[in-house]
Amino acid sequence: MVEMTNLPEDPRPEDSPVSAAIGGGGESWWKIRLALMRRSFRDNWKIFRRNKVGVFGLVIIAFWGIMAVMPTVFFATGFWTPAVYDPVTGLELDPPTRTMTMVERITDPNTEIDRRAVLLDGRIPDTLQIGDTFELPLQPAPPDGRHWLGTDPLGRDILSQLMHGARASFFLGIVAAVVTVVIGTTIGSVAAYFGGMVDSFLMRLADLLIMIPGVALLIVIGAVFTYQLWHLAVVIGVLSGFGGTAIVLKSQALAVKVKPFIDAARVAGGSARHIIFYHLIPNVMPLSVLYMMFTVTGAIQSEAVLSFLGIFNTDTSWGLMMNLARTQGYLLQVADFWWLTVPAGLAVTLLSGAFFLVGRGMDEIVNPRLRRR
Amino acid sequence: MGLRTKLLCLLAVFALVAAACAEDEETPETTAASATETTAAPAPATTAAPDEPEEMDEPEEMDEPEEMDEPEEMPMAATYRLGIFSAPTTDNPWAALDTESEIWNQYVIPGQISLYAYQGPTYTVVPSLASDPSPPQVEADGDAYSVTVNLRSGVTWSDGSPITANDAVFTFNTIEKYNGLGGNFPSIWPLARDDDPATEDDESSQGVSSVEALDDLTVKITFNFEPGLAIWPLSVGLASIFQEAFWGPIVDASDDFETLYAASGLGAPNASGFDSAEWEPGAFWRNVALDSYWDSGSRYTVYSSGAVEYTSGGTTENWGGDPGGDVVADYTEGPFISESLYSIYTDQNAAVLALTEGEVDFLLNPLGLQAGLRNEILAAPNLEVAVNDQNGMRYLAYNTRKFPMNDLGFRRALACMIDKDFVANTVLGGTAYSINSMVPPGNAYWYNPDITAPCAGQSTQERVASAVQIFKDAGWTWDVEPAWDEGNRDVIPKGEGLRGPGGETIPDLTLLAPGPGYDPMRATYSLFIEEWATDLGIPLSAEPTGFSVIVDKVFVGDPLLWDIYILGWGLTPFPDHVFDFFRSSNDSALGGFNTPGYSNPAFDALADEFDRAKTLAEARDLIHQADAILAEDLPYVTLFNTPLIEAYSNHLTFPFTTILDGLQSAGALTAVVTIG
Amino acid sequence: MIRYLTRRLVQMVLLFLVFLTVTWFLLYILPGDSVALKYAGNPNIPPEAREVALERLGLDKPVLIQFRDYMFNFFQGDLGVSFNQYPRPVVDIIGERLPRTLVLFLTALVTYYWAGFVAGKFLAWRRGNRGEMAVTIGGVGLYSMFLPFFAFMLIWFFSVQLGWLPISKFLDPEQWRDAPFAANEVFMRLFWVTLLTAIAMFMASLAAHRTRGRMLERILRWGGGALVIAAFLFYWFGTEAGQGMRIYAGDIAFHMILPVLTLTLINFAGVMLLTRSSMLETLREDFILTARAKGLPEGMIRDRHAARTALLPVATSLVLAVATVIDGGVITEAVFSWPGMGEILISSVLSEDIPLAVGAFAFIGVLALIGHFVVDVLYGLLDPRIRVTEHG
Repeated sequence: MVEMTNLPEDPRPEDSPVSAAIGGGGESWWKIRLALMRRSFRDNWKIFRRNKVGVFGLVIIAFWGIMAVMPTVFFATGFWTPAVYDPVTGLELDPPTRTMTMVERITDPNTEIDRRAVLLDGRIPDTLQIGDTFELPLQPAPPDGRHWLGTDPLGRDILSQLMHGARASFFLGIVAAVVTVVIGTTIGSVAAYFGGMVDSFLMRLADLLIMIPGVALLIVIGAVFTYQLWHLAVVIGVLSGFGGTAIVLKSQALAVKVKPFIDAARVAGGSARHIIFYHLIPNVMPLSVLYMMFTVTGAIQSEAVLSFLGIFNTDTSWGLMMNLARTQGYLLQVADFWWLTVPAGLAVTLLSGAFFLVGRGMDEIVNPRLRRR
Repeated sequence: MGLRTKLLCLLAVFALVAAACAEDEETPETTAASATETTAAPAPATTAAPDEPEEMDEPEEMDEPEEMDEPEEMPMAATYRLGIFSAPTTDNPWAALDTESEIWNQYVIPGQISLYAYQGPTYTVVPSLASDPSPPQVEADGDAYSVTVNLRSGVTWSDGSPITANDAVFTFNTIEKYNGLGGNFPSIWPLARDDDPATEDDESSQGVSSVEALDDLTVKITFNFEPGLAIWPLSVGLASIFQEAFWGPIVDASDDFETLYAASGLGAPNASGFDSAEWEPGAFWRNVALDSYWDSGSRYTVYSSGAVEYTSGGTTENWGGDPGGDVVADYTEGPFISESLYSIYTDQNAAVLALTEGEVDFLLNPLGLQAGLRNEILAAPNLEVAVNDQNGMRYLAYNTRKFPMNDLGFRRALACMIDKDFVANTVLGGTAYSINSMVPPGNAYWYNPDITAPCAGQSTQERVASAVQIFKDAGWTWDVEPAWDEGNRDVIPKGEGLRGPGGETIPDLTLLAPGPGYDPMRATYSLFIEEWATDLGIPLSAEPTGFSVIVDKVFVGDPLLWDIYILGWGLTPFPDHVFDFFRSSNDSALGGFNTPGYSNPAFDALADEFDRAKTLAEARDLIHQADAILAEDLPYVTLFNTPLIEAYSNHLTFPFTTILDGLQSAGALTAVVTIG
Repeated sequence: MIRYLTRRLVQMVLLFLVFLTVTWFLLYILPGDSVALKYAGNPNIPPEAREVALERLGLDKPVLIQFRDYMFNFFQGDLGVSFNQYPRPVVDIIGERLPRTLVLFLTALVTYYWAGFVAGKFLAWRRGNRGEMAVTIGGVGLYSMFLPFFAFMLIWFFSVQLGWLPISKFLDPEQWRDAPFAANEVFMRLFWVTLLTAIAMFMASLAAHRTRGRMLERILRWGGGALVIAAFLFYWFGTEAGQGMRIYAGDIAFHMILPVLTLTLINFAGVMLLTRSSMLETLREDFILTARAKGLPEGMIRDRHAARTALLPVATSLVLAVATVIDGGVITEAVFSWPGMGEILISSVLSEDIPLAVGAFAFIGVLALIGHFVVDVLYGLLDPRIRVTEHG
């Protein structure tokens, strides 16, 4: 076939019968594998680099990576003080004020107040006459020199929350992705290798996990246990790894299983464990990395939705920022209070989308038939 | 390709459905247009509104009660469009008092009649079906106690038939038949259970033993004990009465109460001036105004003293004492609308859009609108605003069964550090206000204004000093005593090695509080309390916890497994909760609401006295005393309350807008509102 | 084949039992119970009333007895009564919600699969140019939009700023005042009429596809299509049944536009990328090269050869998506005030209404199982490369 002019699809170089014969878990085995991995990484990077979409995603991820590190720098250098900039307990004690003029009927709610405003805000004295002015402390406050993205209804810095939210998202995404890969490859390979009852059992379990509606299940689990972020990460990882990913990886592992080098390893006396962990899993790993990217996308979105609904207990996250805007009534006032919703909403979209784009880029490495002619 | 075409075709089909109906779409468009016209039309009338004081005593309207006697002449029969946030779960008024006692059901199901009723906006108890201006006294009657109530003549069900004593008898007999039913029934119609010796001492055996009709307009209620105010008239006197003619056959048909609850109550006769006409599950509910409502045209003048002047058919009665103080409401009973239409919006943000766009006139929500909607509301010129006190409280509860929460000094010292005003005004940005007593200030008759919080009005520096002193006075010691450092404006050093009067060290304590997703206010509050506790050297950590988890731990689970928690209560106008929450017989270990496990014989004695109290003044005095004891003993630390914000279309006119718990508590005043 | 299918069926039933058991116990071990949650906030309800309520709902019995009773009744078709809408049967509630969810989400599903398929075909064909990158990044951007926020922005734009579409809800109460139909009758009618029309269309195009002559094919395709559409229009405008319901059906369709648009914008990218990959793989197959070598027009190769073969994975994913359609819309339903199955799932879980929650989960489970089964059978029939006997 035409695509064979590209890198051979399988077996990949590292899975030659030679490596299988050497196999046995010794140190030399790992050295060879590492060297091969380094080389294949270089080759793959070349392919990936050509894919502009994937590179675009990578740039966005790098941006958020820097954002996630910034608070540590800011706090360490004393540029930020925890009392003001802590994402949870920080508080701007001296919020900016805005001069509001008392009028008969408001035309611009940002600079005018009327009788109704006095009722609505306990801080405005009810003795004001038409034409009087009042210095209204702003909380949430719009962006200024101290708070580059303004403050939220509880007087906390938005930028700090956004950066800490990036941290939470990375943590969540990476843990979920690792769990997915570990579970997905293991289950898929084991099911493919043993077949029969084991396969049926594992695959039906996978069907079961696919069947359960994700958000509802996460709510149930959230109600039973008081979630920490890593609980959520593990649950999402298991759901995605044991569910859809395992099924896809199993079919991949099935294709690998019939390759000659597996037979060679078997003839050489490799145990089932040996063959699964040294031959099957390394071969389905590239595909699983692809699913890992999609898991990150799913995890970030799930967390955002759960937090947005107020079901998930966490300190800081982008979903929680949106939740605060929603429960306090700012969600739809994008024109007046854009800093409460747009940064967090955009962050969810950008980071989860970026991982998806990287996944697309990887697709071409994993599946050579998609490459350019 | 087959599929592709299929997909294409399906899309086309749906496009066609939409297109085919485009002409019919004109109907909603025209209604929308007419709606904007109606909002535009009354604009001149409402420009005057801002000048008017809150009381809204509009002289023009007062001059016209005679005209209002003829509902046929009412020119402005309009649809009152209300938004609700959750679908009703039943249309059956019985079920709505039992398991389905959800606020959304209560909003839409036309109210049943009772002997007496609360009169807004003062919550005075006034006659409804009864004719005696104030509830008659209970008298000894052989072994038992009874009260004989005369009914008003001319009170009719919505089907036109008169309401008689037999309906009250039927209601009670039905409840008795089904063994007291559940939900709210045991509290509004408590059943007497004399015959069971096992429960003789139990309070649940005290109740109504019979209801008899002496004649059509006289009903005699017999109790097996001498009831206090809380039972008569404030439970039984306010209990719903159902029509025998409609419900009787359903009750007779089955011995199973589920049959009764499953029966549709749509169009069931009631005495509220509205009939439920239509229920499209998940979409809307519609009540139509009656042509012949028995109370239509009556005039109510309510005074700030709580007195009510009632004029109907040319005669005037005085209820709830002699008129005194300002007139807080003066209106004629309607309904002046043709129907009330309740649309369901499952999302509040969408509902607010509908309100600002004029799609609905009023949003019914027990919590009101969020403070952040301030600008949104103000920017909408077609909206009026009502802000009221909520009858509720967010509080912190100590588990007084355990050390150190069983130590009064500990409870007071921590309470002293909690700067409620700082949190309410600064952290929460003025969207909340602090409260100190068990009865919130909005419940004016029962509120005890003398109660202050520990260390009220002190600065943080003074609070630290006061808390240290309180601890010392109670015999507590530190290895390192906390002190205020003026230079750093912080507590440095923080307390270390805090030990109780007997030298005990404090175990690690957990403060259970709703998470930031459920309630950001209480979540933030808990973090500040954690910080203040740490300042003093108390090893307290706030733990954001799911609402249902907290409820399970503190109400249902082992009462020794929690330390301190933060939750909230919604309260009723009659503040018997002050005793229900803290009397030792109501300990949560016994299934009651006394979660702190508070036990104080002097307080229990007051509670028993309260049970027997016969007059409001007597009861109020006891509530004030109890509130004072609780403010000293601090099983709860009341934290804050939020104002109830409501916005409504400015072509609505309400006879009053200042009422505890807001207009929603009166069901948005469907019977008296005017639209125009 | 028969043996395989039987085995598969048995497995499915067992799987369903496990699913039901797991769901039931998961909900049961939730802290607190429906009664505690409901009564915790109401100090006026005495403790005895709570006990009565527990007893009434059967929650006072031992766990295993409750479970046994539930399973026993379940397989007799009795899903119990909802705790929250007591004493309404669960089946009744699901019967009310299911048509609403099906009509909205199936329409959305078909729309975004169609949009995604068309866009994907375009991408595969135009690979490498700037358009591809723009569409991919745009599509992924939409795909990873934060749904609730995005949906509100669309509502704000189309309903408030432009005023073209209703803000939310599935009907206009003022128009439905005294409507001669319950909304569900209309939903059911919409569902069946549209389904029948779609099937007729499908048949017409299938017939067209089977014919050899190009002319005849065109006549069949366009003529058949026109005929079906004419019949469709005749139903709504010509017949009495259709005319009576037309206004109401139209109102529902009108309220569907915005949610369908939202779901389409968010979801089409997934289908688009799947189609693209599938197409690219197909384009390397020998028969396409042969077609090219024969000098057939590109459009024909694309539509008649490549697209058709590339459809299989897309169709598979569509079948699986249909199976999960009833749980997909938790957020969408909430934002658009469209009370369907998603709303039941969330509210019943949060209020620990065990019978309703398990009932809803069970419906989703059954539908998902059927979906998997159909996919298996389809693959067995359509793709000779997969031997069903070997498939687990």
